[in-house]
Amino acid sequence: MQNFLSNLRQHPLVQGAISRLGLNIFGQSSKERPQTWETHPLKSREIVYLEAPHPSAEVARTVSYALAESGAETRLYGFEVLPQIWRESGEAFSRPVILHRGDLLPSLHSFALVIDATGLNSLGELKQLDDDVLRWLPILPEDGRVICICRPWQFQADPFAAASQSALPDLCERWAQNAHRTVHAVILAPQAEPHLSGFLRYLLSDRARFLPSQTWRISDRPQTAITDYARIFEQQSILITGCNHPLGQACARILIDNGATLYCTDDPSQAESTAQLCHSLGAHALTFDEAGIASLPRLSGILHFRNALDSELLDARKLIEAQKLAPNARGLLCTHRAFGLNGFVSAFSRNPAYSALTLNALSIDESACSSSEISGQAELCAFLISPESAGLQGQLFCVPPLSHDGRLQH
Amino acid sequence: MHHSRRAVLIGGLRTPFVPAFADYRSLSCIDLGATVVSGLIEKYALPRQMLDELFFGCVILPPNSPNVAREIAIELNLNHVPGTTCSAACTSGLEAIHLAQNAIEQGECDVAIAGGTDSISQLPLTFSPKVAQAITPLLARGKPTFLDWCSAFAQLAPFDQILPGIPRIAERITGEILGCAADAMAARNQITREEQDAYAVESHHRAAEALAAGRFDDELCPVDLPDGQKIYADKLIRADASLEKLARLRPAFVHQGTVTAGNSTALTDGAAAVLLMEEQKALELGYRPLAAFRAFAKAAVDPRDQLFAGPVHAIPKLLQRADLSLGQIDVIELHEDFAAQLLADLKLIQSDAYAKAHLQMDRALGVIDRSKLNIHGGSIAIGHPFSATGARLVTTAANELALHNQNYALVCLCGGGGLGLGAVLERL
Repeated sequence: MQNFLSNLRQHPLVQGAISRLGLNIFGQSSKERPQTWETHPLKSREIVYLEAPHPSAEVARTVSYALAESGAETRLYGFEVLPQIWRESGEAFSRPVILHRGDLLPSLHSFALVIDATGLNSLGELKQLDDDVLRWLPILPEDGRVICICRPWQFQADPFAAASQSALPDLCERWAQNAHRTVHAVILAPQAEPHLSGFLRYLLSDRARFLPSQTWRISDRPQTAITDYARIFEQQSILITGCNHPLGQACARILIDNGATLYCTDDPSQAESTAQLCHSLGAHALTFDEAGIASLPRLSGILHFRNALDSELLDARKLIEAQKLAPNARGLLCTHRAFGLNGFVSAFSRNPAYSALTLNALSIDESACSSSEISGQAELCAFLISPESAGLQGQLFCVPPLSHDGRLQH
Repeated sequence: MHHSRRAVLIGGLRTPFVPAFADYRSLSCIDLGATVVSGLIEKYALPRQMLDELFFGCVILPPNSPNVAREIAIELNLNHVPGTTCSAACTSGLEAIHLAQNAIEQGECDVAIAGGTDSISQLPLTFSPKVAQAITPLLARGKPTFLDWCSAFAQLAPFDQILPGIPRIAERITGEILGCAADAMAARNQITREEQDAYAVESHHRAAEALAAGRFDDELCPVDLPDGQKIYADKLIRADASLEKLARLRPAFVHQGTVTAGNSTALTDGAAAVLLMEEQKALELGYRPLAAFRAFAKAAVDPRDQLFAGPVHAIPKLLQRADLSLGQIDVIELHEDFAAQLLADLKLIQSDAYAKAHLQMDRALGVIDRSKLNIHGGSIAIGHPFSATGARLVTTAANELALHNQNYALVCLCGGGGLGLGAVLERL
């Protein structure tokens, strides 16, 4: 009977009738405000963790706690005994980890695979990992994800280890193309393990559903402590330049919803629409001149939306000279045309004069204008400006448009 | 900590707890509260003019008379007695006692009665704001005409949300029914169905033994029903509860879940209250106080996570404020909303990993000695008229300290919204 009732409530006609009559009998929340940043973004998501040979205890510790804290249901595959760290993290957040022994692949409910490949040091091990993952990929759902954690090959003394680690990002790309799944390669520098947590929370969550496969280079960089995931930009001032860009507007909404104090500016010719946007969002309109800059508080983030690289509107030097950057300030350059963007961002990051600002870049396709595409890109921009992505610097991300039927292109 | 003024507990009383929609269905929460207040006045021969104030907790507030405490005073012709009502989910009754304690120690009053009362039988049904906004102005005008009615009717179009809302004991922010939250907590903390049933059976057996031994006699006051009957005893305790019987019950909230009607509290009507006085005043009037409140502590957790984990956070704060360790507590009364909730809380309280991750402690508080916990049964057996449970726990704990010459008791409740509220009593 309970099954019958449970199935009945899913019927669209039943749901419609209940809604129209306002019966509210089936657990509908009376307050359904969507949240971008959640304390438990992976709630009830089943994640499988695999370890390639010579795994890292620090990676295991970070991943175990990140998954448990985020609400994930973790399954360990290929372990004989439940390691202590997984037992502890499961107990700490009442998310017991389940062991799958033997050669049987777990059920079809697994959403994602997280692989610790940081210890791979031979091509034989690489081949074995390839074989294992290829068995897994078809089991993941269409929107399933793979996160492959590896090390920068430059840190490997052994040439075979260096070869294995350098091959992993390419292998991830091949997995993505062959299996039509999203596969992220996370290249984790030594000592950068604590930063992994924010990436897992984002990459495995619904926020990243429109994000295609990327390679992420995480280094050991200072991070602003996150005290409240539900208000991650609380007490942070963020400047958006080019705020009338559709993506700029979408980002502004996310930032305001998550506690940011927002300052918006654009071409003087768009002053009226800038003012209207700020009024509707509760943001501050700003003219990017000397007086405007002087009126700014210390900024934790700068988002720049333009159709091309344009040094006029974004001039970080003015902000640096005016000491308008808070510690660990982050910047994102977002543009339709990527010419020279990679070199710009890379050189900017290496220049000591600009060390006060951590800058990354995002290249988006001009034709990408559906609400899903804008939404996905805005989530990515917000992530790249947030304290969660502290380990990233000087990287260029590319987000191609969705396919004609609204799916990711792998 | 000893203030210059100290609130002391003289004693407590409660109505028998009965299933909702049964014996007390025609009695309001005000009627039930008035019963215990007049019972306390009579039991302790308190001169009526000496009562300074009433504090009552209530979850299901009567819409037309929500200040239940004051209504109780008026009902009893205690017209000089102000009343304050508070609503903090299942912790309401203990919160009312806390308010009374503060008022006495701040010098605002010397003699107070505090407790809680709830009648699920008289749960009001509510219409949507759309219906209320269409109909209420109409009725407020006095004599609506036919055209006024037509206009109000037209405002209801489109005709959705016109039926009364079906009452649910659920979390507002998630829409999750509390039983489902308990089931989820059982799953996450790996509390089996068998463990929950065993706990529930133990609760019933302990309560039945206490009832048979007359342990509750001094804490109960009979209730007069409109038809002339009198209710003398609790009606939910099952001396014949068994694992076999509970095993036959189906999951009540979640398909293939573990929480059943047998290992959950029943919907209950009832009231309970305690008499508090300023210590010197009590001695002047010739009363012998039972206990004093050494500390109170509150906590709140994210209701989207583990809804009933509030006590796990409140108890360490409580013990720290009371400057006591868990081992020094002689009597422990924890509210049992669901066996799953209580067993999960016990597990979390003794988890080092949880303490490090959530409580900023290096180690867990320790293991709660089950021989000290709810020794006369708990809410699963006795019943849980939401707000009344706080005063019930305090009364039972204080009497236990006095009976066995023990020193400290700890009382704690979880509450909707992720609340936890506790108190430590010390015998006088």
